[in-house]
Amino acid sequence: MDDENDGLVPQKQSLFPLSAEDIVDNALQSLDEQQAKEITKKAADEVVKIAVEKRKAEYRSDRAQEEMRNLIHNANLLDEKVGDYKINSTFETATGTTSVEIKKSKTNFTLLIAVVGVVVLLLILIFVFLKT
Amino acid sequence: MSFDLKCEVLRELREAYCAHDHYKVTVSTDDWKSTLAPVVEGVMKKAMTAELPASVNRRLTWLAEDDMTAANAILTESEARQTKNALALLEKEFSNIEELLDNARGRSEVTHELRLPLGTITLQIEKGNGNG
Repeated sequence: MDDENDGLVPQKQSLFPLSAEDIVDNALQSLDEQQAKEITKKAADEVVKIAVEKRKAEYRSDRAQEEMRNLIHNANLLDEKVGDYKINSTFETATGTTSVEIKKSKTNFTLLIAVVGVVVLLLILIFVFLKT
Repeated sequence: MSFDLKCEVLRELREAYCAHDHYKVTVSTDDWKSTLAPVVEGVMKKAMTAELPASVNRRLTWLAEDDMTAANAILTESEARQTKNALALLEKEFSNIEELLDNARGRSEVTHELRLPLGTITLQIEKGNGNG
């Protein structure tokens, strides 16, 4: 896991002089047998819970990848058939939510070309008018 | 109250009363790791040093019992592991997002909300030029 997080997870992890394990070990020494048992069980449960959550997250990641590919496929279909479109999608991924907006506006581009054309034409007319 | 229940109540209290930071960062698919590293360090530091407000500690006297030291250590370690797992999975998420941006050919805008224990990072993701 450390290799996968290369450069992202802070290397200096010792924010406390004692690690979580040290604290639990110290606590276990000062508590009675029943309490120590409960703490050990809870710590083990937590490890299992984290592992299960990780599996679920990996599944969400795979599903999000598939959904993103479908989104692109649909956008490409719209590209061929429709001039203007806008698609907003959200994906529940492994680590949170990804929001994607895909848009294409042919009208705006055509309008821009037309405006530029009219301006150029006007400038030419003004230039010709001033010369004569 | 059993140790397990105390832990779960403590978890809820941490979520409710410990400050949740929200960061907003613009990253590209090339430099996301280096841009994100200091922000992640801040969130992790916060998670490891999170403490309940004194008013809550005063009202719930069982929070001061010996076994709660161990409960806090277990939850802190659990949050740190969840964060590390999320960051490991982020590598694949970015690969998915990069694929989407490549195939969208400049038509898309992508935002990812990275949810970590005690912190959320909103990433505005731009397509890199492939130098990453």
